[in-house]
Amino acid sequence: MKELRIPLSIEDISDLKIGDIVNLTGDIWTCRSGVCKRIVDEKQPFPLDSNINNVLLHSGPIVKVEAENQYKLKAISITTGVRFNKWEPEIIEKLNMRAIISKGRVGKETKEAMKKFGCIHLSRTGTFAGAFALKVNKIKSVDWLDLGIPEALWLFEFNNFGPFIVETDIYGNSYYDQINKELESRIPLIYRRLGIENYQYSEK
Amino acid sequence: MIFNSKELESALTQLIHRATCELPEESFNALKNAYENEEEGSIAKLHLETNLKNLSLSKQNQIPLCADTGIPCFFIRIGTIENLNLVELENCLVKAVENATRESYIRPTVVDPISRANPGTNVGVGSPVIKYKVDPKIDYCEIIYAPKGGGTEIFGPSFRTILAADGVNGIKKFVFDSLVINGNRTGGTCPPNTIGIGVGGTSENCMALAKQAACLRKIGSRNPDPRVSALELELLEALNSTGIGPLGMGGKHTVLDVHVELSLTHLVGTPLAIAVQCPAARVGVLKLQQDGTIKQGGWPGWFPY
Repeated sequence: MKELRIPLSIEDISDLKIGDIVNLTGDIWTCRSGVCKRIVDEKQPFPLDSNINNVLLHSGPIVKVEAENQYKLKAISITTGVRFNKWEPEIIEKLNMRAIISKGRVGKETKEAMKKFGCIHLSRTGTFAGAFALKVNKIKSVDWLDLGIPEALWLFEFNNFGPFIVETDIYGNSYYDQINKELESRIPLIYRRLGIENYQYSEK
Repeated sequence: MIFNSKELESALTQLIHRATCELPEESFNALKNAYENEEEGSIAKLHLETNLKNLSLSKQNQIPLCADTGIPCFFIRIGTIENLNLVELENCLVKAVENATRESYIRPTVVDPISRANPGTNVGVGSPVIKYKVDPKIDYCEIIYAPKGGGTEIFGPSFRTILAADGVNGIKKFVFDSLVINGNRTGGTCPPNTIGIGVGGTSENCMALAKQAACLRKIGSRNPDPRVSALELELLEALNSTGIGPLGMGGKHTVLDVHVELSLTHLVGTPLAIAVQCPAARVGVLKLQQDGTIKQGGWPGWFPY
């Protein structure tokens, strides 16, 4: 387990290999489709300092609005990264991101941008929310709340957030690509066992 | 009217809160068994260990199991209960969802499909989803809350029709190809999942059967029809031998169970549908009795096995 502190430098991430396990401490901003659209499609200015806030989390938290400008975090979980492939390469380039945290994999273009501009993809462990909200020290800020609570741009201060798996490294290697190669080799045998190795649906 | 609306609304709000934070024991045990059976030191075991830790923390601190608290869905099983005002019952369901959203028990997750605008309440056209079933074998009304998470809704479902000539192997090929060959193998559905398969019926009933099989049957339960249970076990073994594993990162547990449900169908062919349930298989039950009292239910009796 490696402990990383945000902001991340190129040196911090260049030794990391796919399958490594890391934890993160520092400020992380949340990003979903609404935020992606504003940054990339509408070219709105990024409300944070991207030199400092260079780690983003694909997440739609549950936050209770207790009074004006008073928020209470109820739960955070981490959502599928590949959905943001349309916008991700430009976000990496424009905002100089060093790590993106999501569930699952990232898209092909995102992987290429990671290699070109120096960014890694960290994939979540497990599937539940539970501990994540307890790793947040405080809510630092919120922007674009008009997008709705899950879609707004939240900045959270995390302590020892993780564990995460290095899914894509800065050399463009992907943990999922490796797993999928092994999977392909098992399929013919499973087809045979199911008795469908030469099966074809009848013509409609 | 046999129930007090305020009382029912409040019981439903609490039902939503509880079901969002605590997994039923049966589903927790299935994940615990999966954890125990994965290899020591593997990433699969780490995923499941994180799951189990998060589950206990959610229960202790009443934190939602997943921040995606899902599209709110209710399944209403109506027995031989008299004077049940369904219009008022639906009002209570809608209000309970609004209350639970206002209290931040659940996230405002439903949006307009075109504008993507979020009403912030989780209610509106088509939401909450409400399905009914009449069951003459019970003398009460069972209200099941089983919200559906986005990962499994978007990366999970498949539908096709096959012809009479295609046979049982057509079902096997459809299931395996949909979930493995063309499926999301990279954690989109948060494996290990429970798979529901609808076989037969009309097209929309087939998909409803698949959804109910995935969400309302207990993990480890078997369809009493021996032809169907054999198919369930064969598909379970096949899907797990892919090694896709937890979150698609390799391992023995890609699925926790496969549930197949049949319906008589048209002689020309067979609709086939797949629905996928998350490991955060949230489900909660209330029983509304003839005398107006509301009881906490155990596992839903939607399928009697």
